[in-house]
Amino acid sequence: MLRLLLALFLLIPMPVLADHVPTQPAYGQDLTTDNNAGTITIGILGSDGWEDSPPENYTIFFSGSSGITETNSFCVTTSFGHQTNTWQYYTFSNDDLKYYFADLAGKNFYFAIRSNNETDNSVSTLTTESVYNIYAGVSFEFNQTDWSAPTGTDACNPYVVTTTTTVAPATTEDAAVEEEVVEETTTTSTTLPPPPPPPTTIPPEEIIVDVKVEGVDKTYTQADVNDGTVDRDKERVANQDKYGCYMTDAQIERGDCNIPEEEPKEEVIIVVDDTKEELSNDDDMVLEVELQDEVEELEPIKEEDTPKEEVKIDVEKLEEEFAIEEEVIELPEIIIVEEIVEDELYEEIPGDDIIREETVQEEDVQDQVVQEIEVPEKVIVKELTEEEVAIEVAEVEEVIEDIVIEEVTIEEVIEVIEQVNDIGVQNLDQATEEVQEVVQAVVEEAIENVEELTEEQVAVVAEVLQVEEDDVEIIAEAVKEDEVVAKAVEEYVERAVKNADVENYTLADVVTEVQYEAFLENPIETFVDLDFEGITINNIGDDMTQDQKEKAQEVVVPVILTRIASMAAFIFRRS
Amino acid sequence: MIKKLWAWFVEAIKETLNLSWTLVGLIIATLTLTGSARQITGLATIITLGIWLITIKFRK
Repeated sequence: MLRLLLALFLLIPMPVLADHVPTQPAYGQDLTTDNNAGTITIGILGSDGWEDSPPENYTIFFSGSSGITETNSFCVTTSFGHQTNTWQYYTFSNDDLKYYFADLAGKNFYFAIRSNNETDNSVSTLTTESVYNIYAGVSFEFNQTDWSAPTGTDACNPYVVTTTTTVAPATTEDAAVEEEVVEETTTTSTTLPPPPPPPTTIPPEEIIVDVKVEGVDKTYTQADVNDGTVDRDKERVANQDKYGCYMTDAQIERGDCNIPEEEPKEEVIIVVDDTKEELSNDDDMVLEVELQDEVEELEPIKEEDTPKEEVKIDVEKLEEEFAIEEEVIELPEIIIVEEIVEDELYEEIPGDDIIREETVQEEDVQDQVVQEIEVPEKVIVKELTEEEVAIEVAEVEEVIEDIVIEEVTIEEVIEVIEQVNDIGVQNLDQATEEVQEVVQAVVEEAIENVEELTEEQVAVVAEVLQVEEDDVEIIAEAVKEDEVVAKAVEEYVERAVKNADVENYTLADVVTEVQYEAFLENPIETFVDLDFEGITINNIGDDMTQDQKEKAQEVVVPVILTRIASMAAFIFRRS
Repeated sequence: MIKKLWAWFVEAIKETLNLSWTLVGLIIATLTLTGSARQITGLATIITLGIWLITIKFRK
């Protein structure tokens, strides 16, 4: 047994699960050109994410000659940061290229990429230098005669790892104030480092800023100003004063500093009883004073409440509205309301307090009437007769007649879906198959172009799918990533029509059906086909619609409860 | 060694059969979910079943 455990221990590739380096370089890079527009696009593949300080951005170092280093080339920094094993792209516009190169047609374009995490003051090594021979076409023929190469910060303004001197705290003994000297010692096993650059002498940087940090003068260089070190130091000092943590705002937001939450201060009301000394020891006297106090306490409550007349008007108005609703919906009478009010009165008001009873009764009746009025909106279920359905279907067919799916506009899509909503998807069983197919295509079109829809249009799409408005966007995202959801949307209308007799048939049911069929076809793949990219503990389930969550709960919760019950029964039997 | 493995294999089948209803429920649950929740549930089911079967003797 021990040997087996030892073998298992040795088999588990522990180093693979460990962090590689603080900030890993990009796992891949490529270059594409648009020969018509004269642009260059650099692709950057994010690392596997096993690192303490994943890149907040990438700096692309590039040049027309080989041997790229951080000091002998131009550079740009991307606005995007790390995404695990994902390609992201930075595009040089034609104007950008004209700025950096006098001419590019037929020339070599060399580049290498560095990953930066400014918050943690960490950068990776440069990736292996890549070279690409640019297309010798008109779009890259700049032929600039009065061009001069950009220099200084115009040529390259990357994030630079700071190696600032230690500033001793003047007033506090907080060790966190000291800033560590960070050196670029990161290495990687996946990307070979660039060839060693020729020895260059870097001129001393101009000291331009003199700032007092915690009472001590601190000098900064141009690079410090450019890369934001000055700003970050100011943030650190401010946060030291505010929270006692020598950290940047980004670190504070990330939760690195343990900030105790301020508890709301409780109001302490001290009641001075003036009657104490006046009261005699006589019991009758005490009773009288107590009764007086009660009346005095109750009267102001009566004054603060809504005046009686106003309440009457409101109630009458509401009752009128209610009466109209009642005719349509045939709800039970208000007798139930009165019963509830009575029950509440007994619970809330102990004793015979007539004045408060009246007030509370009016308030409760008001609330209750409002609640009763809200109910009918949800209760109303529009049931169409066969003739009405036939008319509506004819209207849908009429709208669809002029539609060509390949050229359909958003307005047309919404018009069709609105018509379908009037009768309900499941009633499309009375329409021809062609109509159903067009409606299906229209629904797919709406999901594909959900970003272009207004809120009202999203509501229309949500209604046809029988999901909440917020869920439409989730479905649109899921369609791109999840084949099952994509297939479910594709077959939604067809399946809804087939299940016309099923009540409350929604997209969630279609998803479950599709998954069940996929499971029967290939049971193992359902469990093995995993892709955890972008999944964190916090966002599990965020990509599910509310409807799907509710339907899943209906299954998962009974399963867990049944298991617990069976375990309990087993333990009970054994004992 | 082979005998031991065979005994464990038989025992594992018995245990899995004991868990039939639970597994049916979990499979249905997995099929009801979508996206990340489905993947996590599916993987958790398989891993837990694996651990359950590996630790048969330990639990007894």
